[in-house]
Amino acid sequence: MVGKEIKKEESGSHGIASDVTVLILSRLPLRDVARCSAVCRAWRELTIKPSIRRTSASRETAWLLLHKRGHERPSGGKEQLVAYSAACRQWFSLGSVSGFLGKKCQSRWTGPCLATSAHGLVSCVYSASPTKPAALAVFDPMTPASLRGTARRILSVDEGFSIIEALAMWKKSGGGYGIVLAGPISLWGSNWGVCLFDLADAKLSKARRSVASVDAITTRGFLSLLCLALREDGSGFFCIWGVSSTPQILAQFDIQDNLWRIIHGFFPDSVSWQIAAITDSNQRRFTAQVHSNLLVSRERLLLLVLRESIASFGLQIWSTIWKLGPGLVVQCRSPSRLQLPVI
Amino acid sequence: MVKVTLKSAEGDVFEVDEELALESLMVKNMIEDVGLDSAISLPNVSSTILAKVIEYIKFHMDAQKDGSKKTSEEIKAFDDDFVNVGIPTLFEMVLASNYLNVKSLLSLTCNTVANMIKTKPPAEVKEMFTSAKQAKA
Repeated sequence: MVGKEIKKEESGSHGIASDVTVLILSRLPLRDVARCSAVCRAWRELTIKPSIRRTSASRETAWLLLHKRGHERPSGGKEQLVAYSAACRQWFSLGSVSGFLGKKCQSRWTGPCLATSAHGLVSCVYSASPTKPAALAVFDPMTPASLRGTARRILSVDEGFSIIEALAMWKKSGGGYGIVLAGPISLWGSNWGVCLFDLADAKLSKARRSVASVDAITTRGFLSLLCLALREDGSGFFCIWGVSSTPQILAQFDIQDNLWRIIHGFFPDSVSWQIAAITDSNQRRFTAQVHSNLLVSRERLLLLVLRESIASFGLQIWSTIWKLGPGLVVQCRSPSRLQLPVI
Repeated sequence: MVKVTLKSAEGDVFEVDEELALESLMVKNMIEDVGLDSAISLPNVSSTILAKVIEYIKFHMDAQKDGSKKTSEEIKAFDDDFVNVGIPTLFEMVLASNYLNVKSLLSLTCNTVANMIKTKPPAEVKEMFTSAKQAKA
């Protein structure tokens, strides 16, 4: 029938044939696909099909990911990763990062974690102990628990970064994912390294490593902020942006040319931002990302700093921000504080 | 205008324009195979659902014709109203549009079901599907 596979199986307890169920499920956001796997056994079989997940994930762009640090005290809360999906229009908890990483991650680890996502996959950088180099992990948070072991890739980042300040992930047009991370190589922050990773279907591998000194352009290095954005414009060109605090300049690192460049003007209008993230290197508690789907106008650089308080997340806005999702619309020019929903 | 005769599960006969019938790829294939002389029997589609499907195709064909004064809001309102039926009927329409291979209706009904499932806990989804099945039985 028009070259289409039609299966006439009835799905378990429900009166709808499985090929129709597939059609319905593949129209759901990834979060709801995962939820539907708990409906019945037949649906569980269906929802682990790569085809549904792929269709569904292709509509999820990047989640806005926030990592909530655990508390060192035994009474404190567990570390937790929360995401905002523009497709679902809601916040949800992805669970603890150490839960996804399993035994390879120290059980008592509560430390900072940078996380980014693209099309349903999450990549994060963490360090399991102060003596070990940081590790890059990629996992699919929506996989059923039984399949988690196969959906997880971990690679040690032994390039000598003292801190990894920025992480970004994108989906390549030819398939697979690219991951880039950056941070100071020396303790004084004058040499900034950039490391690229490739994620093919089954393998996470190091693509290229480049280290470029930022001394020459800022004289002081990046002091407090690193803003990171990746985009794939017509020329298929990726760049990383860094912001130095004094004087406030924006530097662009061109991965292809392996060079830093100063960008004049703090809000480059010609740039469409895909993901921008900021971390504060002095206080590791600050982590934030700006989500492309949450912006009405993408042609502005948004700076967003997230401060983790004991009970909830707060946002401090450094420049005009247009839209953050339902109920979170803000428009302000002065630093202000708003509360994200407590998850 | 050439007419095509469609026969529902109950044996009711629907006479429709050929142009309209060709919107269903399944009927189109049947016409190519057996020709226009005999009635096309659709044992998987009940009369009420077949009438709905014909109503849907007719409305959209009229809306696409030149000189149609229907705005996109009106079309959307029709679609919203069209799928604003009970879950059992909606499910039957999903199945019928899949069987008849009417792409636009299939996508409309599947999206409606998907929106109903969204953010619902699994127990409620199960409830929804079970009630649809019981109503059918």
